[in-house]
Amino acid sequence: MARFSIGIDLGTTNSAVSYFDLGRDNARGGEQLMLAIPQVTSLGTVEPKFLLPSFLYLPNAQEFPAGSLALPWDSARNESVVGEFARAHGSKVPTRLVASAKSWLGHSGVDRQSAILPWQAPSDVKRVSPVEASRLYLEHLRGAWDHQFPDAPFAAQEIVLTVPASFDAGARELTLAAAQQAGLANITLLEEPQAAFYAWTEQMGERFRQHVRPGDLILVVDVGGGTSDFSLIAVTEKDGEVQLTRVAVGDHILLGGDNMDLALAYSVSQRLAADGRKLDAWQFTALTHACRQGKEMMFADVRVKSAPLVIPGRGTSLIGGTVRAELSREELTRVLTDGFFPQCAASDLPQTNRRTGLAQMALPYAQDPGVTRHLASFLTRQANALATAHDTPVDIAGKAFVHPTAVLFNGGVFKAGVLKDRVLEVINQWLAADGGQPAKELAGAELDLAVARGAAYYGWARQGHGLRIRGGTARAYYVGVETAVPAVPGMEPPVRALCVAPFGMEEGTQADVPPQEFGLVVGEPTRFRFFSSSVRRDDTVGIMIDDPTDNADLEELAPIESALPAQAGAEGRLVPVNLQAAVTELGTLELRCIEKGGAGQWKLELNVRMKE
Amino acid sequence: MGMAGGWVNAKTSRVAGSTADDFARTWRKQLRLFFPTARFQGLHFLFFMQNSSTSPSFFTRLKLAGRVLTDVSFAGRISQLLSPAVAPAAPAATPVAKPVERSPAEEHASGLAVLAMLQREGRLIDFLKEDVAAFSDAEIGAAARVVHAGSRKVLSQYFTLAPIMTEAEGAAVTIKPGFDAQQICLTGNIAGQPPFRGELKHHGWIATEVRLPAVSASMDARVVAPAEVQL
Repeated sequence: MARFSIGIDLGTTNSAVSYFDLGRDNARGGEQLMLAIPQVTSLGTVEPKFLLPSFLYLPNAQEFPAGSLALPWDSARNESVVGEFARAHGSKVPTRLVASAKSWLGHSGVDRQSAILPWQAPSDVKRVSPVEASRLYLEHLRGAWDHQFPDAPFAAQEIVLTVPASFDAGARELTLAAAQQAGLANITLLEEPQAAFYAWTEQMGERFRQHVRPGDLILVVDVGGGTSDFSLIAVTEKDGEVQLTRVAVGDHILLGGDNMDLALAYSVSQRLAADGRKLDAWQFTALTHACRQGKEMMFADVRVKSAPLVIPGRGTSLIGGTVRAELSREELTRVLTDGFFPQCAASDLPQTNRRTGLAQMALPYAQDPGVTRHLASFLTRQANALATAHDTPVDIAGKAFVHPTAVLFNGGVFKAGVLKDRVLEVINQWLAADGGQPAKELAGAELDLAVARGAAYYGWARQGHGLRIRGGTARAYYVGVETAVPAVPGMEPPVRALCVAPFGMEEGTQADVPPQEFGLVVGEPTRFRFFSSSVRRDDTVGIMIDDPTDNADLEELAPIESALPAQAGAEGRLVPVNLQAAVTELGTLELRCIEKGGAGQWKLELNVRMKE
Repeated sequence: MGMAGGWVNAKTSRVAGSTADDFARTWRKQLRLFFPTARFQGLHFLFFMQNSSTSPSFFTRLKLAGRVLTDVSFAGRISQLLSPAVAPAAPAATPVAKPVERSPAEEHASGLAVLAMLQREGRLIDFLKEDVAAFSDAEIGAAARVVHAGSRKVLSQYFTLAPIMTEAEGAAVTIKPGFDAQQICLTGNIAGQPPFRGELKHHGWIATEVRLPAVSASMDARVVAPAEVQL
């Protein structure tokens, strides 16, 4: 029997763990416990911190003295190190550093289960897959927990693991696989913006009802280290009870706080280079730190006109080797506030025709750094989707975009009040121009730790204690079906998309069985192309869509594969099957083949290998 | 349930970039939020306010503090050791263990560790070892920002320092009889018996908490900063 609900925020740049004693009969209010995570902070030194940097360093066998990477629960550890030391040392040895494993987990352009990280590592480095890296972070958290709570083992507790709302079925499945490989058993997945909202409601306690009323529509703007994630939560009333429904989530945008500090550092280093002072990689890291400090200083006090940036040299000559620069208010506003949160119209779309110059790796970074433009596009697209939906809890009539009534911010980026103000200002300009009322901020959120805390709270609330957000899957899913046409050389047969899972499927439910029938050959792999849509809310199971590859509403995911076991003597037999989708209690999507007129049932694997 | 294993709380990772003051504030806030005081008094904390002439030397205290942080049962024993009134009588028959010979570096490992942290975060050794005569004030000032920011981070992360006297500097103060002569240093015209009347020139500092991390015994404490070789 689990004693605790453990919320894990497995973040792109930082991970955190919060826990909730399931024996409690009331919420924790402000006293939301965080796990102090012991980690190597310098060689031979282990210190506990609330945040575990999600970085993995893979050392050379001779690189560190024996025993210097030991952890309290793993004294023989020497093959890899996770956390603060990994991040700090890895910045000097980037070819052995695994960073942003979570972004790779959501990247369908690569084989996410093969050892590809560190990307561009030299051949002697024993690489890991994005799934393995995530597993190592989770194992570290597990070790830290078991060391502190030997009587309540991690694997026996209720675990709520958060994922970006924009993660598709494949990325969720892989996150779950990493958790299972780390020995975690009772896992539930929760979307991060929802977790942030839960943390806020827990913190507010009963005052929450004064801030949020039926008819409200809450926009969660979550800008993490590596991703920007948007969700809309509607507040309605039914039989006198307040209900919360997550009505929409945004697309996967690889754009976060890390890009912002880097952008400042690039801007300054270009100026330095123009003066003939070239920085090496080590100094560039120091400059990025200095920029972050300067940024925080200037955001904290709007009267400060400029911040001095000091980049120490690497040698022992500190005074002689120091490079000085300056970050001006104008530059900060131009690069950061206007660069990442530009003033724009609600009808603006993210630009896709140019690169930002930040793409260092093969990750599909967002091409437009304008978070506000991504937000505009999200609200406009969702308005179109909700306007045609049959059961929408949101009133869209006469509106050009979805009008939020309140905004909840999450992510360390928004510690800068200037950036929160800018986002609110832009949204309220849109609202004013479209005849709406201004949206207010849901203040008081704990920006760094809210996701882990909200996840732990959810683990408790779902046992019947508190208000839960409903919503089901935020996407509809489709498989690609080749249409039967006479073969033409050089022409691929046209593909149509068959809806197998409608929008809004709740956990623990299964969809109807579409009438279309497929023939599967036993013992031979069959592949299906796989699509999803975050805006087609009314498609029912069995609906066919022509030309999915040219349809802007549909996004192609990595393909799925049948794994029909070959029984003795049955190889080559053609089995007629129907496809059926189910959403598991854990929050992942499962596709099954059901034998027509027989008892056979097979799970279809979400193929996480490269999409072709 | 507390922090079994004795890992003390400290929030630092996201701190990169916030000012040390911010950090200290956040840290204290977190401390209050997550760890009600009752839970860790006597476990993680070692107060230095004692007045006994038999109390351990500063570095022994530092080391004790370090060990208190990492060893719960030891923490229990240490609180007894530090209060002679409740110290249990040593069993007479137990032979006294021969003290293990320790090198000066081992003896003062935590002192060296503090040097290493000040060098790592604040480049303090580089700064002090450099000849400043040849540089302008502006150049020294720029480097001082590195030293200041990094050393301040170390100071606030591992130590809590409080003023010994809370009055404002320059205020008239009265020193009562039986004052602690280590905590209060009298200057000027000292004559007669307390109470003394005077002006507070410096409020003093006292370390009310020490949170030094445990360093693995396999490490050579003498290495304050490794040589770096770029391949």
